[in-house]
Amino acid sequence: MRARAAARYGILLALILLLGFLERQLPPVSTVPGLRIGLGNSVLLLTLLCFGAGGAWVLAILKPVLCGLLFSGATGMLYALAGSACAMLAMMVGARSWRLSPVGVSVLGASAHMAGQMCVSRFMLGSWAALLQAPLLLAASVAAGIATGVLCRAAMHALRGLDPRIERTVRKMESAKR
Amino acid sequence: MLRRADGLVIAVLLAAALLAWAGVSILKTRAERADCVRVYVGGKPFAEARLDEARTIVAEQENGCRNEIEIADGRVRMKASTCQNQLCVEQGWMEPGKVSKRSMGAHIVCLPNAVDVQLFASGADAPDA
Repeated sequence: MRARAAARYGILLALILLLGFLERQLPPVSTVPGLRIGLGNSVLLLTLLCFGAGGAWVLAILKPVLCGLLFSGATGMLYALAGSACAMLAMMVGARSWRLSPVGVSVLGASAHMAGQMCVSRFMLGSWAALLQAPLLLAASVAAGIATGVLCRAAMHALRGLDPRIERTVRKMESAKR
Repeated sequence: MLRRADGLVIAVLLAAALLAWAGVSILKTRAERADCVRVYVGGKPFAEARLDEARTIVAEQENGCRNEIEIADGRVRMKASTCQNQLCVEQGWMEPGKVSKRSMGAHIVCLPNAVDVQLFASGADAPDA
């Protein structure tokens, strides 16, 4: 069982890292540095919904740490960890009942991610200067959240044959329609 | 596919974005009365200067980060920085009258080096920090 879990999370983590790498190849979305769609979040959300919070937290911590060690350095790691942790907390709350589809949960995650990084910037800079970008960032969080939520839902449907837990989650998602 | 609760979350956040935009616009208009500069380094106040006194402020930190802030002709800019993306330097000159047009308003921020250059009006209660 352990080996299976290790293989599963290894694949999921690789997917998140790959998505992160791919979206960096796209031209920047705006003048705000580091504003990204966060495609990897769709895999994180899938993990949360299908495999539970424990596994999702492992990925949520590992990805920023690995990227920080490999690419962005200590400051980047701090921002990414804060964003990731806040997004996870928000998504855990959002995914509790099935009132929200993956799209809604993803939007909550994206906004919380942004809010977490804002707070880090306050701590680092000593001022709330980053709040000046709040209007743009809030709107961008909504758009990105919708995109990754749709991606998550599509991935869940596409992968339902792969693992019984995904199948079970898709069924729960469909039956909770309101 | 979208549930009613999804729509609610999205609507609330977009409304918040609108409110934030209004707030930011007001802040920027207020900052147009600024006549002084305050520099924060690593989250702590580092230096203050008046816009009518030409000078260059150098902020060197223990971790090797170095920023040069130049004040001249009632304007201020990030003259040089050791950061990798140089976005702070690219922002160019900042002057009180034109603050509303700038994306970062009355701030020049060097995020990697944690330096924040703010305009403020000396007669007011507090800078918008």
